[in-house]
Amino acid sequence: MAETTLLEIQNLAKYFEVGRSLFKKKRHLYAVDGISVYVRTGETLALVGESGCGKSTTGRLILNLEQPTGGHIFYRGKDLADYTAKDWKRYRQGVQVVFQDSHSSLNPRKTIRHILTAAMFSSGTIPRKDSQAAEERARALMAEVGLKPAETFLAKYPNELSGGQRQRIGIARALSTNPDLIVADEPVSSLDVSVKAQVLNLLDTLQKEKGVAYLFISHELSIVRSIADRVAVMYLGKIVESGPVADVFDAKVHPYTEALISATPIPDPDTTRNKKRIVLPGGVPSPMDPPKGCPFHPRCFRAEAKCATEVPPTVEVAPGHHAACHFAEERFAAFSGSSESIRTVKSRLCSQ
Amino acid sequence: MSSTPHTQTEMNPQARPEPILDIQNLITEIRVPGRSLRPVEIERLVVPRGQVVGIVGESGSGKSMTAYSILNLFPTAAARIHSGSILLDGVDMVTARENERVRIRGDKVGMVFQDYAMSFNPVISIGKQLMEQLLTHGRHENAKAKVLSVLNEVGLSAEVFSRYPHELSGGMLQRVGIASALVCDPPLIVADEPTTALDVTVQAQILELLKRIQQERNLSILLITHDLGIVAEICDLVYVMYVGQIVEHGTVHKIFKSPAHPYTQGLLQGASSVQSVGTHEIRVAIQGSIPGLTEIPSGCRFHDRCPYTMDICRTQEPGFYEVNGLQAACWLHDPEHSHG
Repeated sequence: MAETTLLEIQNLAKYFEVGRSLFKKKRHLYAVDGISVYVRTGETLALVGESGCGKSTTGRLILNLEQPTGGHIFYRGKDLADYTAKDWKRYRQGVQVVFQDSHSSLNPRKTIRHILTAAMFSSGTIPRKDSQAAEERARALMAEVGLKPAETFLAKYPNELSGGQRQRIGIARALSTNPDLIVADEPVSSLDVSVKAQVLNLLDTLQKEKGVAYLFISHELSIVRSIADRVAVMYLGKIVESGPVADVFDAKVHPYTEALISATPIPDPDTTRNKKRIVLPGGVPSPMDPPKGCPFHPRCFRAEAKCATEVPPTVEVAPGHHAACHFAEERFAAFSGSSESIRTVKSRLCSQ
Repeated sequence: MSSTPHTQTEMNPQARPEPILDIQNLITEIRVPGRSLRPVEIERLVVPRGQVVGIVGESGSGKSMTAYSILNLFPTAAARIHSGSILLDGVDMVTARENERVRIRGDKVGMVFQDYAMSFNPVISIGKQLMEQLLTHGRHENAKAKVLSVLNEVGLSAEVFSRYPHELSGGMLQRVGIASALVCDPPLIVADEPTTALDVTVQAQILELLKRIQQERNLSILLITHDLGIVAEICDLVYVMYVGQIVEHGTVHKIFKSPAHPYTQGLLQGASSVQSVGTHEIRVAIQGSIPGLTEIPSGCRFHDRCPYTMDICRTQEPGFYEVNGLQAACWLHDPEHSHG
């Protein structure tokens, strides 16, 4: 696969001003605090973390729904800050979104036909005059997302559909502009187990057919495991670990990644009851007052004195595998000494 | 719950004397203009003393309505128990008078809700809200001391007593929710999706807390969840619900090892296939989605989504058959029909 960088984020930051009034000093909520990641064409990058870690804000920044406080977003090599009106038009077609809540992201007063064609017209994918082409495209999209017969579904209103069907409409709408990147913000979180698998399968099939890349924002590690190529773990507005999904899930270089994985229950009584569980104390600190040093140190089971004062640098422990922890290299070495599965990483190291 | 997997595997819930909760032939109905819908039709559901029983199912399967039925306390006036019996420590919640039910809720059964933020009054301090329960149950003596000890038991400091709900994080509020269920020392707790709204690291804390309290108090817990991972982790017995009915039940190890009902098989396949690493292969185990109460299929309610549908499935409701120690309501296990 020819892997070119489609979207690159450098030192992206978003601080929200909160509590500003005449007598109060203004304060900041550090939603996204200097993150750098990239998405290659046709791959899935998963952004995982708990609520409040800034993963959705990152998605909104990419969609230009929020203005960044600092940093850069490059799409196909060009900085969004330098965009002309024409560039924006291309960007709107190229980068699309699927939201979590399919109920509130579809207009209840419009038919599915209107919802789909409106997206094609306003993005300029199909000229407004050509309603015949829009109709044909809408039908083709319905077939692609597995809603048959297309005619019946196009005439329906969102409230007549089930949650899974509505999410398929959300996906069809995102596809209507022929995007090469879809920001999927918790696309299956509100769906039932059986429907969840169907929608994930659809997303995966569409990627294989169309080569669309996903920025898959999720808090569910079990899903990320199966669908993502690479994963970035966020905590308090920062990326603490990122890399190929198998490497990150095996090596768990950052203690937070390890805790997150160990906290996820596995649907198998023998495995889940016998595995070592790390239960982190307390909750995620407020992003208005993030801890000094390593943001994770107050909850970390590995923390030492320097974690409270020094911000850990992001180091590359293996090709493409980064972690922001003072003990990243040490932990990675301990892992590679102990585990079999690291052979893959090692062989890649040798080949480079 | 037991730390070793083998101690409770061979236990048959029906064989144990006087379970803490015994539901028989329960039908709950919702009256809507022109007709009555039946979100719950349970033949038998038993929670033995000192065990954790899970009800698992998708949304719309009637698991929350089952919880409301046990308390005989519904979120809408249109819902009521149509018939059946719910024996809570020997007392029937269906025939009991309302003042008796008020006593039973709290004394015999505590409830933990999913939406902890909505289950507290925002303008009354946590301590007062917990005290109120003791006072309505006539326990005026040392009420404050009791509340403080329960708060301590769920891992909260004494200062939480004078705090208000908005001052607490989600995880802390759910701890208060558990404290509120425990404050009158009931032998049974009904927990309806207690960790669904929480983050995964906080969920781990709450599950550990439930496990610890269950062991310390020898509590019985009826845990309602859609998450098979949670069931695998803390339940002893499992009931699988589909469109208001129990389709399969048995011990957690047997259900996960060799599920007998095609719906349970599909749920487990779906859950385990999303676990595999980087395969990009997601097995879609069950097609379609759960039907609404107005469109319940005839015969076996699962027949239009089932991969093994036979003719009889479309017309007749299956009874329970014993399969490898599990009880499954499926025609596949009827000797006369199990040729395929």
